[in-house]
Amino acid sequence: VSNPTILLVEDAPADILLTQRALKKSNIKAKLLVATDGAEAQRLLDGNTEISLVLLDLHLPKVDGLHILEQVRATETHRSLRIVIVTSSELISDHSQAMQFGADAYVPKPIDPTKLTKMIEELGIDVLKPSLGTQDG
Amino acid sequence: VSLKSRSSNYASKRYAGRSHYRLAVWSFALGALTQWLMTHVTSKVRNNGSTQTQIRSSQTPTSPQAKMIHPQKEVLQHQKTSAALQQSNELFELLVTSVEDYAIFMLNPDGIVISWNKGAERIKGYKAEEIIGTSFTRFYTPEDVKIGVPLKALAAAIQEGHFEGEGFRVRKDGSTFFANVVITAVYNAAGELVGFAKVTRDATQRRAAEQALQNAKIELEQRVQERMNIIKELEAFSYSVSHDLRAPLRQVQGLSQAILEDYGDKLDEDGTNYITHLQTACSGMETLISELLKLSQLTMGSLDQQEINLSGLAREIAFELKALHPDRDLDFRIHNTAPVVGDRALLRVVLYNLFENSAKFTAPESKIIIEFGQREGSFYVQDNGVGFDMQYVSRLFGPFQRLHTQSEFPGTGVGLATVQRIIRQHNGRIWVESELERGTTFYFTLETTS
Repeated sequence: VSNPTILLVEDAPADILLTQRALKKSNIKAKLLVATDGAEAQRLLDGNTEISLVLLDLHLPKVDGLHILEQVRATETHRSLRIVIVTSSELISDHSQAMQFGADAYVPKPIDPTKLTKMIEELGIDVLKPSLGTQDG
Repeated sequence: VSLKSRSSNYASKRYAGRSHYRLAVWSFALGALTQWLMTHVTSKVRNNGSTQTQIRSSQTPTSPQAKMIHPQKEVLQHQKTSAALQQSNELFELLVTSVEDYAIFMLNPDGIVISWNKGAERIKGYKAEEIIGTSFTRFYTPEDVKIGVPLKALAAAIQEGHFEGEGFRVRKDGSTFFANVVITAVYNAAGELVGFAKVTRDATQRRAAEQALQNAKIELEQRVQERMNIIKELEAFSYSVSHDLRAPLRQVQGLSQAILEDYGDKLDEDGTNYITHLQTACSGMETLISELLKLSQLTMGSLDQQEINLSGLAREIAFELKALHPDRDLDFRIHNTAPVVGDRALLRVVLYNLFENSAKFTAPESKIIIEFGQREGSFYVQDNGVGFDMQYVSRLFGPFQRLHTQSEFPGTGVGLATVQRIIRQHNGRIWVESELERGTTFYFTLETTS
């Protein structure tokens, strides 16, 4: 039985708070894992097949977002993993680079609950039903 | 060794005596000097050198017309020519001897000095009696002598007819100077090498000036490079700063929106008002950051240079601005201009900002006349707007500098800083003339293709 899980990779507490609020507003009941730097994200992703969506900030301590994106896309076990870039960067270059590295979508901060729901539906990720695990912040 | 005994070694039996020989020498020197000054071909020297021989041999005419000349007449003619030539050569000898700015002297085919002028004495420090009869190699540094520089110069003069070189030479007192030297091989009428004419100029000052100029150039280039590096660093810095400023700003925006949405019903009118002002302040800062980011991005990329018709671009922008402000009476007067070389996207930003500026700084109800054209090599954007006091002109192009309050005319004050930066990036200049209530004219220069 799959246990839908979302991994949020974000270092700013305010952004973690705002993303949790957006997920709650979007009625997403999946389990939420939070990594506050790139290295922690790598550890959490390693061998975990329950994660179906990664909300990834680009500017992160230790290992930056693009590097994580590149690694995930090179890993066979993460083939079906959806990766959404969440960033305050408005740069076209950041956007095009992320898409080039294999991101599924790109959303600006602050994250908007309505847009988040719509995007998750479009990507066809199974995270709207409650997971068997506990919701975690 | 005296001049007399030396010169007799080289005086050909064909010459009547010493004065004739000296005439020939100075005549050669004349040729050499002429050549040096006019950079004529070597043959000219040989022609000059053979002048007196031609006169002497005129009894055996070579052309049919010459044959018809009466022998007596010919003798008379010969005497007359000889006298004139003698006088001319004496004058010339006087001239060469008294020239002080150039060392002009003769060498025999072995490189022994056989004549000396005032300039040579002044430049090299030897008197005629000290130097005549000695080898010219003593003018060279020991290092140059060791590698055969003096003899190579003579060999080159023989081969090419003429040798020109520069290098350090030694004075009598052992000091060195930087010399410009011309050596010309001198031949008699029979085509035999009789020696060399040597003209030396003290080029120390010229060389020092050249080196000072070269050093100044290098130093200037270094300074420009240093400045460019500093500018690049500052741009990279302001770019990352403005980028990093945006993240916390988005958090404030997001959290204040969350308060309004989640706790709006718990806030009274004042509380809601504060949050609204907080959001307005955030939007203002957001705009500033965007402008700052754009400004720093401008100079980070390289220019995409192409030929651009500015008046065509101006008409496009005029059309856009009219559509954007249907409520305003905008009258654009765009004249044809010469094509320029530049980055189309950036020059569009220039015209857009200047036109928008003109449209903005006008009393709300009045007709706005914006004129674009070219006069005396510069482009201009002229308006009949509110103008400004020229005492504030120095602040006009500074980023975030504003001459009006937000309530009078809204804006960030980045537009003209951007315009100036783009024009400078194109190696152009921009300046402004304005008078309160009379309007403003911006002038700028760009490289035109015509």
